[in-house]
Amino acid sequence: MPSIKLQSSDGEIFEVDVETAKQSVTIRTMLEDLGLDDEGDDDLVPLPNVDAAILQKLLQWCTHHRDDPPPPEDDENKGKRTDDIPAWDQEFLKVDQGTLFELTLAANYLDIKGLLDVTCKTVANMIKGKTPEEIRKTFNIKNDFTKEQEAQVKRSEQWCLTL
Amino acid sequence: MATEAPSSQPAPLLSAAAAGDEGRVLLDTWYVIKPGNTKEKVAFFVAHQCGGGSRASSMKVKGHWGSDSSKAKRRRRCLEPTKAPSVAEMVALVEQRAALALQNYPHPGTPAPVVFVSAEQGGSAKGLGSERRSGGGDCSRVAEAVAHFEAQRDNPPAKGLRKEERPGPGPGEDKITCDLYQLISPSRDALPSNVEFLLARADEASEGEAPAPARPEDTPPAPPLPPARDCGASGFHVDVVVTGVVDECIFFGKDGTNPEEPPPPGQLFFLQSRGPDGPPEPPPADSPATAPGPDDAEGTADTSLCRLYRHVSHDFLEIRFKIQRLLEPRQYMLLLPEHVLVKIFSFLPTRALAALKCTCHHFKGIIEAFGVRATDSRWSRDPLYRDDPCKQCRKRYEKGDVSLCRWHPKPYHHDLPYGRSYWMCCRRADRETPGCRLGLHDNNWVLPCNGPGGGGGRAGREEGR
Repeated sequence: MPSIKLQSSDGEIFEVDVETAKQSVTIRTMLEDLGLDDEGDDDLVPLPNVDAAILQKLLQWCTHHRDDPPPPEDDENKGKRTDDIPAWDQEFLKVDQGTLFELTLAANYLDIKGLLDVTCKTVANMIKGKTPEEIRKTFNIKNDFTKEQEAQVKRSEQWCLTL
Repeated sequence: MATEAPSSQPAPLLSAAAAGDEGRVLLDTWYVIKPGNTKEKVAFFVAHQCGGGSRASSMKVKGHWGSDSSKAKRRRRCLEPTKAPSVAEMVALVEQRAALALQNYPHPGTPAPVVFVSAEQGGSAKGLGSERRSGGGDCSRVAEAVAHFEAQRDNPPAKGLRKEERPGPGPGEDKITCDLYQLISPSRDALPSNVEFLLARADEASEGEAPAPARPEDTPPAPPLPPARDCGASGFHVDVVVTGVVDECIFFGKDGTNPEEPPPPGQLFFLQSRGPDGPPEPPPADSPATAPGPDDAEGTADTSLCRLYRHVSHDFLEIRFKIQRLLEPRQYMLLLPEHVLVKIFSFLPTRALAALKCTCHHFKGIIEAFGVRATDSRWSRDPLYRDDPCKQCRKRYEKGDVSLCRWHPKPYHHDLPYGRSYWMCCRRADRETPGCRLGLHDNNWVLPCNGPGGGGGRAGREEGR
C-alpha cells in the first residue's frame, strides 16, 4: 500500500498510507496537484500549521475512520444533532481544551469533515445548558459588555427569565 | 501591583493614572514603594509598564539596604558596575528626569522639578526636619539631604532610623529607606496644584529648620561632600516626591568610573556637569544644586547604568512574564475562525445561542452577522411566510434573532366601566406587563406548532391577541 510522509510544523515526519491521508481534502488536493500520489513514497508533504502532537492525534483518528463512507453534505433543513457522536470519538476527544481546539483547527486546515464535525459537536455540547457566566468561565472569555449593554442584551434575548 | 498611599499624606489630589500620548505617562497616583525585594520588583514592573514596555527605560526604586546585606555585598554593589544604583542615585535620577519634564510647564516658578524629601532622623538630624509623618517634615532636595546626612556620618547620628522598628543605629548598621512619591498632575498647562500644596507644606515645615528649598532657585548651596566611602547604608529615610510629567524613566548612571573606586555619593547628585566619560563633577559650593538642563537627559552616562540595571532584574521579569503567559488561560474559542464558530453555533438550540449572545461582543456579532439559526428555531424559512410576525408576540424575524419569546397566552380583560382590568393568564393588571409565558418565537400561522407556546395556528392566533 503506498504511503506518504507528512512533516509537522516542528519537523517530525509521519508516514501513513495514502488512503488514510486522503481523508484530508487538503492533502488529497495537494497530492493530485503535485502528482505525488502516483510516484514513490519519498516525497514529503509539509504541514506548517500542524504540530507533531496534534498531527499524531489526527492521524490516529484518520486511521480509525479510514473505512468510513464519505460524510454527507450539510443540509440546512436537516436537524443538527450533537448526541450522535460515536463512542470511540467521544473517548478520543476526551482531551484538554487546548488539544480539542487544536484538533479543530487542524481538521479545518486539512479539511477533514468528519473530524471537524465531531470536534464542533463536542464543543457545542460544552456550551449547551450553560449560562453566559458559565460559558465565560469554561472558555476563559472576558465579558466585554458594560453593565448597561449586558442588561440590554439580556432583556432583548429574554435571557433573564431562563435563569 | 503594590501601591499604597502614604498614611500621613493627604491624598485629595490623586486620580487614576492615565497614559498620555507620545509614549509619555501621566502619573497622578501616589506610589509608595517600600523597600524590599518583592516590592522593588513590583515598582520595576510598574515603571516598566509605564514606560510603554520598553525594558530599557525602566525604573526601580530600591531603597533598602538592610542589615541583611553584608558590607561586602554592598561594597561589591558599588564596585561592580553591573550592580543597581543606590536609593539616592535613583532618587537623583528621578529628580533629573522630572526636571526635564517640568521644563515645559509654563508656570514661571517651576523651571525645575521639586523634590521633597523628608528624612526621619530624629532630633539630631539637622537640616532635614522632623518626622514626616508627624506632619512637620522638612523638605529639602534629595541631593542635599543625602549629602548632608552622609556628612553627618563623621558624627554618628543619635537617631538615624525610621519610626519603624530599628535597632540602635551604628555605622554600617543603619538602613537607608526611601519612599518615592510621584505626584504628577495630568494638566500640562499649569503647575500642578498638588505641587503648590507641597510647597506650602514645605514652607510651613521649614520654619526654624534647616533650609527647605521649595523651588530650585531658592535652593541653598549644597553641603560639603562627605569623604568617599563604600556603599554602606546608614540610617536614613527618604521620602521623595517627584512632580511633573514623567516622559520615561531612565536611569541615572555613571559611566567610565573606575570600578576599583566607589564613587563619592555626593557627586552623583550633581548632574549639570556630567560628561559622557566620567562621573559628574560636584558643583561649586556656592551654586544651587539645580537639576541639569534639558539637554543632559539621556546621555551616555545613563546608558551604562540603564544597561547595567537591566542586567540585574531583566531576567527575573522575563522569566516571570513567560511563566505568566504559560499559566494564563487561553481563549481558544476566540482563536477559531468565524466559519468554524458558525458551524459550532449551528449545533446549538435557542437558549444556548441566547446565552452565547450574552457572553461577549464577538459571539453576539457572529450570531447576528451570519444569521445563525438555532436547531429548534420555529422561525419559518419558507419564502412565503418568513416575513410573518410571531403569532405569539407579534415580533418579526431579524437576522440573527435567537431571542426567546414572551407572551400572554390569554387575552387582557377589560371590566368597564369600573376599570377592573387584568391579563386573564397571569391576573396582572398592567397591560404593559411582559408576557408570563416563555418559549420560542413561532411565525408558522399556517402550519401546526407543537411544544411549548401553543397548539395549532388558529389557537395561537387567538392567544396572541
